[in-house]
Amino acid sequence: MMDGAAPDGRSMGLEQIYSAELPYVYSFLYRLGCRNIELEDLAHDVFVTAMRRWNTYDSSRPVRPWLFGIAFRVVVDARRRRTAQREVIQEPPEDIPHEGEGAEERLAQRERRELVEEALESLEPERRAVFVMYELEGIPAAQIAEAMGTPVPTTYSRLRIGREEFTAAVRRIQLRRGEP
Amino acid sequence: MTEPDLKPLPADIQDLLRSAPRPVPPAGFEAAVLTRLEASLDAAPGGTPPSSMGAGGMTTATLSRMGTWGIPVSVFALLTGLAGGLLVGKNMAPPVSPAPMVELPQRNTLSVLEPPPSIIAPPVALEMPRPPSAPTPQRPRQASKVKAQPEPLRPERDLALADERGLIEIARTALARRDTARALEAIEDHASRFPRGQLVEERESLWVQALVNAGNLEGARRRATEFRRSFPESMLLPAVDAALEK
Repeated sequence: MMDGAAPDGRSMGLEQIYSAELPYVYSFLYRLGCRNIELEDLAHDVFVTAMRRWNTYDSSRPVRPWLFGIAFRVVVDARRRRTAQREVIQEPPEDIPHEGEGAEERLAQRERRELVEEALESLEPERRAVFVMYELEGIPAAQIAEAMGTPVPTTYSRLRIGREEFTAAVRRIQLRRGEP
Repeated sequence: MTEPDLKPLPADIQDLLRSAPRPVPPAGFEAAVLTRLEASLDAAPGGTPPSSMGAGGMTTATLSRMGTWGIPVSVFALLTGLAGGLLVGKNMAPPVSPAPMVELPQRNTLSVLEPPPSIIAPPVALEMPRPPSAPTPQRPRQASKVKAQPEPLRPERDLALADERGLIEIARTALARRDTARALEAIEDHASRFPRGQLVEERESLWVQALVNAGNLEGARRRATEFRRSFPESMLLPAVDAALEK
């Protein structure tokens, strides 16, 4: 199930959606590999696009998958433009705060987080987006398909391959780290 | 493929995913994005002056202008890639009817400024409509104030073409390295995003080849027949025929 109460948009305007969904948009962008100042740019673009496309939003559906679909397109388009411009942004790794990071488990949580993030890097963008939405955000495949504008079988196909690639990547990283 | 066909993830991977902490925005992130949204909304004639920041960095007035029900909002949005400029317009009204889920939604334009003489795209009044299920107050439309919608912006068209090319290229290279699943993903993505795009002919020819590679000969023949009907003079016909003869 979706993490957190996902608003359905029926009784909400963009102002409530912004407040409620920004943290989820942030974590989705982060898990797609966006970092640092790029996150701020892209989060801004997501909500500007949401405003432009508000009349395409079916308010009977959960708003989070719709926003994630926009976020995915924003990320892909930004990367294509950057590639076209031959612009390479090399930003230092950042140590952002993560939910539930307590003093006692900080190291273990950090290692798990880094393992997930590194394994996600091995997935192609579409599979990564589907995998994150399904496995980490708990969004049903039908809603992912709608958000991504692809048929449901394609979504399942991407999820299946994404699962295989993610699992293989975790195994590789664990082997390199000398973990069991 | 359906959900029951999916093999479950190994238990340790499930544990890993369950226990991996969710990234949360650093302090000030929400306010920073909001400030930029506010700047976007205020960067045009008719925009209201910046509001003061409330507790926690939230600007209530800005959020309200983003689309609270009953408060009409208009955004001039120069499309992605155009210097990131966003202008705010005026003369907003609720939509007449909800738009279908399409890539570029129909916009209810009640005012269009005269396009500037430069190459910069003319601003187009966009509005923040209500969602389809929300009650929509009626406001008479003043046809005399409506000017013709400008031609599609060339930069937008160029960006779309670049996106189309990107997907077609992904499909082509995936076919070359015999990654049929990836090729079909890119082709279906293109068909979904650009059903009547500029590279439909290329997409359809690749689709036939991908279906042949996937062993779906019936589907490939059906698409090839449709391809011949739609593009009888196509230079890609020999490639389509060759794929079927494999």
